[in-house]
Amino acid sequence: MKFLSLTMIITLACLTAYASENITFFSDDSLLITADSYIAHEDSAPFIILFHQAGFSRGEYKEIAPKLNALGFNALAIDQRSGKEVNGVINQTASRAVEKNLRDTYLDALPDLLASIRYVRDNMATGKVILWGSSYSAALVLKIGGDYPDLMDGIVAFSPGEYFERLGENPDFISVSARKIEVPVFISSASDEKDRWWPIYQVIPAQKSYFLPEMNGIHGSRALWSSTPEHLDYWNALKDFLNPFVIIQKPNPPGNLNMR
Amino acid sequence: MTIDCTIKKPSGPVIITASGPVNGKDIIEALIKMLQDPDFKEGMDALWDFRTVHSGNSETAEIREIVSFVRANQKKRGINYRVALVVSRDIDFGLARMFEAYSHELPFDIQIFKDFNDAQKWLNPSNH
Repeated sequence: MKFLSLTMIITLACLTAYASENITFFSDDSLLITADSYIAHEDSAPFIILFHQAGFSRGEYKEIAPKLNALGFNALAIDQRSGKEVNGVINQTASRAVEKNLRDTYLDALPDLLASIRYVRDNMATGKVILWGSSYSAALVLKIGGDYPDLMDGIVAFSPGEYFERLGENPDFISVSARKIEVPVFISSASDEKDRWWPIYQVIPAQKSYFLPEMNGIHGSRALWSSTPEHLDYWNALKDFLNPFVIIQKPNPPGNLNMR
Repeated sequence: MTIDCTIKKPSGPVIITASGPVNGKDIIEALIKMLQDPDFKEGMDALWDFRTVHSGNSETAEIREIVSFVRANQKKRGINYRVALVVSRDIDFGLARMFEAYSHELPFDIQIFKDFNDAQKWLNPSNH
């Protein structure tokens, strides 16, 4: 039954062509950030901000975002300054960072994430906001989750880890922040990556859940691409986490209008 | 052919310097040596210096074989690291681009340089 309903949603997403729109806004250091918005609902609908993995672009979510629309979410997929290209989508923020000779390590992308969250909250969403990261950005959304608890209502992290030691940070850089997370968290990864994020997961005090595929799976949000053999299992687990965020909008009952 | 591998302790990068005729098998042997080095830690950045190699005979199959090796050893190699390839000849630049294309969906960053200092700067911008 569960499989059927998910298949229906995916089919619906394929049939319903929600057009994405390319938008730009500024990061804190005036670097222009490119993003694709996937808006299928009113601005009170839950909103997911999508961050890509190393070497990629907003194109990581080309297939995923329309399916999130079909599940009841609006979404925005960002180009962080650390990345390159995927699915034929060139990372325009990264290109601009190179042109401006700006640093582009994974940690240098942190202000891009924060600027994106603020942009969405100020301009695109009045309802709940969920942060979604992939690989290095999955680690960063967990860090933001602990350090800025008022900025989000939920966190999805595909293949997070303590990736920043070689950039001069402590080995528990993410865990230190994750200890302060107050919102529900979902973590997933390839099956052999659990060791990378399990210590982080253990210190999260908030409601949390995780999913690991029985077989290999794959690194990052790519797990949800239809090219990943286990993608339906990943989607089912994710849907269980996301469902409570979707509030069915009921029409006002007659007579309730203008009540004083 | 010679391939020397030195690891800057404690957290890298790994500097691999190749010279003379180099093929895919040589690269994989160098990768094995790197992974077996007691000073190697998963996720270390790497700088491959190919400025004095002669790799004209490398074929697509060899490039794919290297990518397959990296993919198969991902757990030990780590993820979210940077690989800088430094080349001097156009033909090597082409081969490096081919490697970049085939490894595109692996979770690490790769850049090709003709200037050694630019590669070092990209790997560790805070030291420059």
